[in-house]
Amino acid sequence: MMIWFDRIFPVLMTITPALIVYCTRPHATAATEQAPALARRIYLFTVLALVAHVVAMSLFETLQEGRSAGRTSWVSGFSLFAFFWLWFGCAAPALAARHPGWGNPHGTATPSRPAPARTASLTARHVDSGSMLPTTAWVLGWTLYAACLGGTVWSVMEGVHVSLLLGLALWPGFVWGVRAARIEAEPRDAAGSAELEVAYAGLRRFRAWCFYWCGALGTFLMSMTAVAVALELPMADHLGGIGGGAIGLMGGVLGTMASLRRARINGLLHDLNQQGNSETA
Amino acid sequence: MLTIQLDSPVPLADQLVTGIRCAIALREVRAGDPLPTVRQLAGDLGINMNTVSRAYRVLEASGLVTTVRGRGSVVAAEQERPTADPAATRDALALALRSVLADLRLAGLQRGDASALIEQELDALWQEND
Repeated sequence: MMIWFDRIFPVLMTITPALIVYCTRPHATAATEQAPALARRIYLFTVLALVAHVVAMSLFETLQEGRSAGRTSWVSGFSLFAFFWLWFGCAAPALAARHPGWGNPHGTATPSRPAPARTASLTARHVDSGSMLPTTAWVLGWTLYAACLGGTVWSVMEGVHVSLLLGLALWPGFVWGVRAARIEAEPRDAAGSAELEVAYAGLRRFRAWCFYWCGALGTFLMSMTAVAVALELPMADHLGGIGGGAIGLMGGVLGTMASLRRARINGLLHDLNQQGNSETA
Repeated sequence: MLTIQLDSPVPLADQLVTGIRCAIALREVRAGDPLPTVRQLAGDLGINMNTVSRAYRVLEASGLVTTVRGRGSVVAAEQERPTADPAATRDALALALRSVLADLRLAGLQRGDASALIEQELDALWQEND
């Protein structure tokens, strides 16, 4: 376990931003002139961060030979902070310069690229039931929630720690997320392309389902953990950890998929705007 | 669809007011239809929420839009509230029209071309069933 936390995990975290930049191909028309320089900058800083990490680890391991591994863990933990500098300081600008999907969906004005016209639909999405989930899904979700509420409250009355009640806040939070997904920014092209409308509707539905499943399964698992602890089942202590980890991973994977879909839509919007501009010219 | 030009000398709030007024006049949105929330429209256009709020307030003052608690902004009417002085309103409209006609002439359009353009816009606004 210590090998993972001290040696492998910090290195993976450090190289991830550079890897994402490397895997993002420069957009044919939107990549800026600074894109290659920004990419070189993150590769350089990643190498420097790795060298600093290896040197620090070797130094501290030599100094504390025969002592506990606590200090080494502290050094490796400190190295993890390099991730945030690399991601926000280097990777984010490099990605935005390479591909419109990772940058501002509205496009950024430069002397060579004047600010485009911005278009929006006048359809009120906050009352649009077309992007909502079917009624049966809501009935199932709220029924499950009522069962979880009963189970968790019973468990707490049986002596389980009161903090497990927090699990009941997951479902309402994600229900809010389903509603919020409808009014996420959806800039349109001047011609009001149907292709873009279909893509946005698909993303809205996808995000709504993501929130729905994360909320429903998260609440269910927390409630099951509370009940299992109250009943003193043998695997009760593992249920929360494994279940929570699985929900976290599911959220991460679904969130990444939603981000990639959004990036594709932003790229499509950019292409449609370019096409519109060239037709006007 | 509502389009704004960031590099236009016309303030963004005024462009929004004009765009929504046109949408109401063209019956793209009808009385009773909900309008996007301030947050939605600001996000879609990538502009400040205060700009959208200001535009909605101007439209509310003219009686075209109303804000209903729990529902957001809604198209209230397809015609503006009559003013206290109809003659003054007519004079103001005549002045605005003259300004547009002057723009057409200064742009170098011949009378026939200007007339065709005006007819085209009139046809778009007053459709057959009006």
